Amino acid sequence: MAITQETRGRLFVANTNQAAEHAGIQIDMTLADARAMLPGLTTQPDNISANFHLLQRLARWCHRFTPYVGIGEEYCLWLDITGCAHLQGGERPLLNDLVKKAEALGLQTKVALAGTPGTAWALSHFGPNGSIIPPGDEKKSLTPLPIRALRLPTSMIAELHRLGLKCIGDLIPLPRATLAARFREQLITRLDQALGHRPETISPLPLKKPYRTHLPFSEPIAHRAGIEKALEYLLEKLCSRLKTELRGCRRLELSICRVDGTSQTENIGTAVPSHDPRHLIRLFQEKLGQFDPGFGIESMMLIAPITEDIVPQQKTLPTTKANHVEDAHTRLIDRLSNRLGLGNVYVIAPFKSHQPGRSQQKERTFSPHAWPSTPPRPLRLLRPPQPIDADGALESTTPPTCFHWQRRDHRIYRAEGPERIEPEWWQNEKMEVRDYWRIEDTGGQRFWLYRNTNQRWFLHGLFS
Amino acid sequence: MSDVSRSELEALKAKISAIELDRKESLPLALSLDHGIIDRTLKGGLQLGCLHEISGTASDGFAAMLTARFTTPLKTPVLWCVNSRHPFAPGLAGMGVSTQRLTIAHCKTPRDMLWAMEEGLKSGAAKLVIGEPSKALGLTESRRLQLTASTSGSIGLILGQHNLALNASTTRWSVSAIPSFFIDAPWGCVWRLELTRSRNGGAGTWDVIWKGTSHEKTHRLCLVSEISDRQTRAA
Repeated sequence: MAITQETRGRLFVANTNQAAEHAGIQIDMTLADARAMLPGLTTQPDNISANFHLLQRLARWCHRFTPYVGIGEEYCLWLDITGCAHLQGGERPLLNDLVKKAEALGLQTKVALAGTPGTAWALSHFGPNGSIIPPGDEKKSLTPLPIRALRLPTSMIAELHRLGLKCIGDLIPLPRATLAARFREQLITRLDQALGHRPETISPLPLKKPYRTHLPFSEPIAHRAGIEKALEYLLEKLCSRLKTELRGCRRLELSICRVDGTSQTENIGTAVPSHDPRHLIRLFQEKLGQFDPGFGIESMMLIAPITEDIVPQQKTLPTTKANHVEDAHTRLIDRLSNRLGLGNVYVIAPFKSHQPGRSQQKERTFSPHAWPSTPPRPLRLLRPPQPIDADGALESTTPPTCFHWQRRDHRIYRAEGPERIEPEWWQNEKMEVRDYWRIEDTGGQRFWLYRNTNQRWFLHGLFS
Repeated sequence: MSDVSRSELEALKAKISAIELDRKESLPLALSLDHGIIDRTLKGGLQLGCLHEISGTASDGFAAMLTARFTTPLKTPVLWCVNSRHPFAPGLAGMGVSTQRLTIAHCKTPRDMLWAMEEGLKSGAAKLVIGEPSKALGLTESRRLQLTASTSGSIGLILGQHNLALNASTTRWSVSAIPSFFIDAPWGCVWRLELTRSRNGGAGTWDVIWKGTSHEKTHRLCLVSEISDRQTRAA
């Protein structure tokens, strides 16, 4: 696998995975050369915006280790762990934990921990993976590393190479004034930053504050009215924040912590994002009864784990009937689905299949849809289809004249069909070819029968 | 002292009558079934804000017809509370129901069913709430649903094969399928509608045919006799 990048009309390998690297594919090789070495190479064009997006998500993920995470050049992440290491039991456990958790995400990591960002960068890219340099040892650890580890422009590196300066150790004893005169300030700056003589700043990502409110009580409460009042307060607080940030919650978790240290959590969900405290408190009404206060509740916490953007809608007039009905309808659905279960309140939408059993699907949203035009279909489907005794079907293209179902004989007065429904070859389950008939018996009742390939008759649905 | 209390009483009386007037005004009267004779018997049609009960072999079809009337021309949401027998949406769509306005609520227990129906009727968002309780409704339950329906003006519809129980529903229908011997109906619904009980008085039996398809804009009930008359005249 290789990532390609187009430069002046030619495709170059911008990055490779480990397998490709073992096969001898190198970065900055042309794709044609790489293909010649490894014909089975899969390639993917470089997508800078997607890379950046992923890196940002990764940076947010790293907030579990330190609140101070920055994105550096060439796709690296800075983690300032000053004052955070003891939370994980020290620097080594923290580093191990990070590597292990990143591996669980399917990521290969190159990490290093040092007193200055420059040294950490150099070691993570060119030194042994996972090295930890105690403060003061920067000089010693940097000495064997190549000059590229100083994050210098390629032209400057080439020039230094021409002069025979290969590693950082060669640079350190040289007179600084000469170096600065010859290679501009940048070289000295980078060197000083790596050695810790000059400060280097990391610009951290803004920390995303979780949507969470907490309310401790001075005296434990034990009755429903108190819980309700506290919930009202929590909701008001959370919703005002959601409102200013133009977001609405799809899920809310209310936890109570009892005096004896136990806790209990109840969830509610909404069909559309909402930040209306009055609506949300109504949804909680059903759940409040399930809270067991025990010896008393010490504190309550409200979390919105799932939030979505709310586009503020231009409502023509607050009293417009259409708006009102729409709101009332979504509220009704929220209330129903919170008691009956999220999957139990739904709209049925068509599914592209000719199989009657698979031609519909449940949907939570109310998107407009159109049903394909088919011959009449029954109002109820029997699941599974019931085998019936049918007589009088002489040939495979004729309907029966009577059948027996639910301890009654039904004489057939009218029949329409056959309508052949073939199985879908991409389905694994064994389905047979079915010939469907719409049948009306002498009593006027209508049935949907089919005959399978074994000439057995089944009742599959009821009209009217 | 008595003057004060009298004036207070008058004020209260005025308030109450205002509320009652308000309620009376806000309720539209009835949903016309689009057939003169039936509507006249029902004094205008199927009353809104009331509970109606339907039994018989073709009760599903009749419920589907009402759902189609609400979802397609009136474009209002409908709530259908089911227990185990789910309606088959392609069949409903074929009868003219626009399924994106039909919300299905799957209720596992009879209690949930009653609760869901009450919520639906209370909210007023769904103008038709259909329920399929597994056993007949008692007087208390039906009275409660009837009251809830009357506050919002939605129709509550009870489907079930068990009638005869005493309850508070406004009308009780028995809808059964009848043979389409004498009509050349290409798969339309042919029903015998029996209005077995009505609070407003009136009862009757009509043989009707309903051809509800999504292509046809008009969802009209026709009396079978009218059609057969027409056919014999043509012959």
